[in-house]
Amino acid sequence: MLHHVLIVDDEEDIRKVIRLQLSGTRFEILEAAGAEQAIELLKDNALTVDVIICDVRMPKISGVEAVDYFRRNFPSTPVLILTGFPDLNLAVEFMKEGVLDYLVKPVEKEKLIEAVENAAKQRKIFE
Amino acid sequence: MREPTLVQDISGELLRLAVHAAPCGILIADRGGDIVFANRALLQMFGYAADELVGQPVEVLVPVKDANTHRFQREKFNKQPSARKMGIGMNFDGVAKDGRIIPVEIGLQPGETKDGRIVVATVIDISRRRAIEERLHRHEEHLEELVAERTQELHRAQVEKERVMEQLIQADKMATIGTLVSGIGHEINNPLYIVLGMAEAIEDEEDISLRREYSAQIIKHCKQIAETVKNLSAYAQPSLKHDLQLVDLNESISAAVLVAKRSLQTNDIEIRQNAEPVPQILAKSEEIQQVLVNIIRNGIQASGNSRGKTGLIEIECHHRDEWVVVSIRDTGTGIPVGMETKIFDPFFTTKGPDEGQGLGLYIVQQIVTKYGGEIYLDRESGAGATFTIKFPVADQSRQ
Repeated sequence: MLHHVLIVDDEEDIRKVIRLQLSGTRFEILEAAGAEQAIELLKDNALTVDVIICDVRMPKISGVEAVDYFRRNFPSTPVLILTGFPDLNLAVEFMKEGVLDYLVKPVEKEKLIEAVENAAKQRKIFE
Repeated sequence: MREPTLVQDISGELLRLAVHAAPCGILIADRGGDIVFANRALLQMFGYAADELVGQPVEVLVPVKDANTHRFQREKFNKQPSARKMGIGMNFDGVAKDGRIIPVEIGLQPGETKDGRIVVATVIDISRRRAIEERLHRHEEHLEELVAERTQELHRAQVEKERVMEQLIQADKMATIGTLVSGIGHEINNPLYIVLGMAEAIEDEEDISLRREYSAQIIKHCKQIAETVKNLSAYAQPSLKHDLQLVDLNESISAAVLVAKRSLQTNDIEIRQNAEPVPQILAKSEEIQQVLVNIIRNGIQASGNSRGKTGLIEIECHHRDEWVVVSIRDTGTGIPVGMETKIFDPFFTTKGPDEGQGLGLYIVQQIVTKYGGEIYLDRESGAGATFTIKFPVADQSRQ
């Protein structure tokens, strides 16, 4: 089963790593360098994005604001936070917003795959 | 000078009335020291009737312990009689008929009569005055004690205040380090993630040129991590040196910019530093860092509130007369009119309840004034805020 994953992170090297970790036949990757670009892609691809992986610290529109937008406009698309910022309070806040998981970089490949697949299952349940 | 004419012109009766009505004691003794006359006031003062005193030696009015001395003084006076006015040195103790000691002040006036030489003594009872003087003296002593006590209390309070201020400065520094640590977490975790990802990719990759590319990424990001740790741990070092050092403000500013940027969660800020060579100042360098980091962080946070546009912070440093002047200008929301001095009050803050207790600028001001400097807010620039900080140039001759 092919899962469409949208990566939202302003650092190109990070996006490259996530892409490498999710490489293979199971995942189709879309990339956005920031929340604005992610929103544009979602508007075009709303039905085909299964999971959003989003960073917290981004210029212009932060991860917090982006997640708020995703949850309001695409409530059935699960969101995973993938951040370098280990903050328990922030994690709790995100969970309240309906974010599915809060992952702290660095994340091993297996753990990321597992998290994405779990999220994709949730997506199917909501459809 | 002519003798006053009263004695010749006034009749004996009037004179007698006048003498007996006088409020001070008047006593006349002959050359042998025997009392020939005492007025009413004197008799009342010492508790005698007239006939009890006349003919007695004047020493009857003097305490026994002083009698010999008095006799000696009297004989000395007789050899060189002269008027002795009341005043300093003319205080003695007299003794009343009932044995009471009466402190008195006396004046002496020698005279000649047809019967021989006499001395007229005027006597004032100064016991009340003496009592008042003693009370005053006790009062003064008590006041001096109180003053000494209060001075000590003040001194203790001052020492305490300085100790608390040092603690506050340290606490502020620790708070910044606290936010720094989370910031550092991010600064290190991102490149670390790339290192991990690249290492995993190498494991799965056969193509040698791709492996080389991944290795290069690992090396690049490892170096980046090392650089971050080096830059930020310098700020977090506990202060080992308690002495003052010569500090170059341009270097302090560069380091502070790095620290401030990394401790906040935004990339969206441009910081321009215009530096010209400046003389050094004398201070603890980590406290100067603390000052600069606080102000720059405030500027970044203020600019972050202006949605959409990239924030800009301009920092200038130049030498003016005997000062090194730093100005930090941001393009943020500015500070409301009337608040220019309030912002330096402890616990004043325009931030939300979770964003800090508002001690930052208070501590900044304390540190700046500690080193003989000044800090103020400039309004000329319109929107945003410009903080100007002046430090005195280090006196090289004292090194």
